[in-house]
Amino acid sequence: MSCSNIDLKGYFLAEIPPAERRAVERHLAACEACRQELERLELTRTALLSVREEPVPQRIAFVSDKVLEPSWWQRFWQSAPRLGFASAAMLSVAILVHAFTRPAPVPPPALDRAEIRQVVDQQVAARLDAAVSQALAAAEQRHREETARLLAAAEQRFELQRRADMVTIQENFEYLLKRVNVLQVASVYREGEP
Amino acid sequence: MKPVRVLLLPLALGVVAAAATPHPRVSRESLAALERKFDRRIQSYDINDPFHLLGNTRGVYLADYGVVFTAEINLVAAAVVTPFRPPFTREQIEQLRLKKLRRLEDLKRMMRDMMIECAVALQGVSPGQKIAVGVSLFRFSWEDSRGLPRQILMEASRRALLDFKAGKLQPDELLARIRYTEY
Repeated sequence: MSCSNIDLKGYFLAEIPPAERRAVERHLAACEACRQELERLELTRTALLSVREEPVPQRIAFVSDKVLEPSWWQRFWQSAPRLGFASAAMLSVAILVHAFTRPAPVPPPALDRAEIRQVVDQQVAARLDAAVSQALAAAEQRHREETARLLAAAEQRFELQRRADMVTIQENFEYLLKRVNVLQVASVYREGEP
Repeated sequence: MKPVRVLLLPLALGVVAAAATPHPRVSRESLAALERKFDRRIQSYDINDPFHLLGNTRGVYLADYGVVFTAEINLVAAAVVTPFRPPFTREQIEQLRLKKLRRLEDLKRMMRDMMIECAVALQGVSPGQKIAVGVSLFRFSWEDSRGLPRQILMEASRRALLDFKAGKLQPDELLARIRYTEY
């Protein structure tokens, strides 16, 4: 039997049946630790028995007694509604004080609506002109670049076509020249023939 | 007398040198007659669609070789391309190529006939020498030249040509003896 299965306190207080007591006694004969624990319990009981007995008090103080009554400020701090009311009151006082001590607001200068409109119109017109000018310049730049690119491509294409035409014309010219030569030779022979 | 001898000596040497110079065995007149004959033959190939003769036939006699005739023709007298008309379509160009290929065989036959005529007509050419006919074929740069040569050259010995004319050679035997080059 291990130490954990031993009810040493029940044995000490004589609360376990005799069979279990005999088992505990057998364990104690073999276990030094349990024997020391039992000795410590014996010492504790001996110490308790040596304490002098005191008489039980005749009256216990109640919460309702005057001595135990909280002071007014304790009751105030322990009451949430009272604290809330006090906070609201202080806030109202602060508002009132601020309202009476705040400097008078300076009225804004009176502006002419027509003048404002004129200024706004001028600024809008200026910004519009600037934006339109910028967009126009960008568009013109794009058009110039596109025109230059198309022009260069067209010139290159026309140059290639011109060269091809020149080759064709030269071929045709040589061809016709040969034909003319042959015809001239033929006419010479015909004139010489009888 | 001495000055007269001195003057007569160079004259005598000139006469001897002139006598020693070999005269061509084929006269220019006989070659010219054949040239005109070949030109007419080429130009009368098809009265409605003739070969275009672009270079008249020219013949020369080469000592130790024989006679060489050359000419330049366009197999099909196609309309020329100009900047003022639309270019030919692919189909038209292909039709032109096929037509030239068909006419190429007729040209080769015509060249063989010319060689035989030359062999018969040019008595001054020895039988061991050759008769050659070369034809340059014109084409425009825009044409499709697949299968079409630039030049055709045929050469054969005069003896072989005369034998064929006399019936001693069959056509296939003559063809075997004609050296044919095209490029």
